Amino acid sequence: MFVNKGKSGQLSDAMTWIIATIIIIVILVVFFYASSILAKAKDLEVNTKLLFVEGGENNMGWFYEKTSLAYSINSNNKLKIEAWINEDKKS
Amino acid sequence: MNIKLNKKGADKIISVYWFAILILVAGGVFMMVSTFYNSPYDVRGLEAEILSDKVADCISNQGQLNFNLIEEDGKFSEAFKNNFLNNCKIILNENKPEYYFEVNFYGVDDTSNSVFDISYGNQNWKAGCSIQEDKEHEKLSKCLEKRFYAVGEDNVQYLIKVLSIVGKAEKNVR
Repeated sequence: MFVNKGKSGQLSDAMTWIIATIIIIVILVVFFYASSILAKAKDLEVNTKLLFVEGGENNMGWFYEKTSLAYSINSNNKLKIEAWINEDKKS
Repeated sequence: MNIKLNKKGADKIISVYWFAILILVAGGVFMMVSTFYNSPYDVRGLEAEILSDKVADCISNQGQLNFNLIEEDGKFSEAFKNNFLNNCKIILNENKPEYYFEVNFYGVDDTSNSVFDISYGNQNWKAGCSIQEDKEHEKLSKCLEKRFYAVGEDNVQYLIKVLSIVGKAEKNVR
């Protein structure tokens, strides 16, 4: 009586699927984490009325323009005024 | 006697497992999509910025204070303050006030005591600004404070602080 026990077949298929399952779960977790990060990026912060000046600072804005125009009328105490305004940016 | 094992039984079991994987992937995709689309866009920062820009535009134009803001004797106008929304054409939802803004005028020599104040809206939101530094409470009202400088009549210098606050946590935060 000769019993041919095949070395390939059921066990190797099952091992393949176990590895595939683990890989699928890891990829799903990664993409789920990425989607949650993208959801947090929905907090919008947009600066309206930006004044774009070549070579100017990135934080130029509408209020900066108002202050600049006021300096053209009366530029006394300029350092004191700028220090007070910059207190806001530091806080 | 030659006995050869075949793989038919294992194929039937793996077919069921294939559907389980399919359901797992479909469930994962569903969770990803719902996580992304269930979180609303928080535009309160933008709203606060627009409100502060609108208020500042009404108070100051081309570096000078609004002429209606100061009376003939050089004092700030209480009438302008009391009718500020109409004067500045600002419409807020008065049924459920979700906004608050405050304008403080300071002299250059004394920046700790304001010489004139204008405020409107739900003052209860203001308390939330001081605790927003704590990450746990950052989803409360959005506060925005901006400062600028303007010149009044007779070249008098004024430092102006505009605080604008937007509540609306129900629609913008989850």
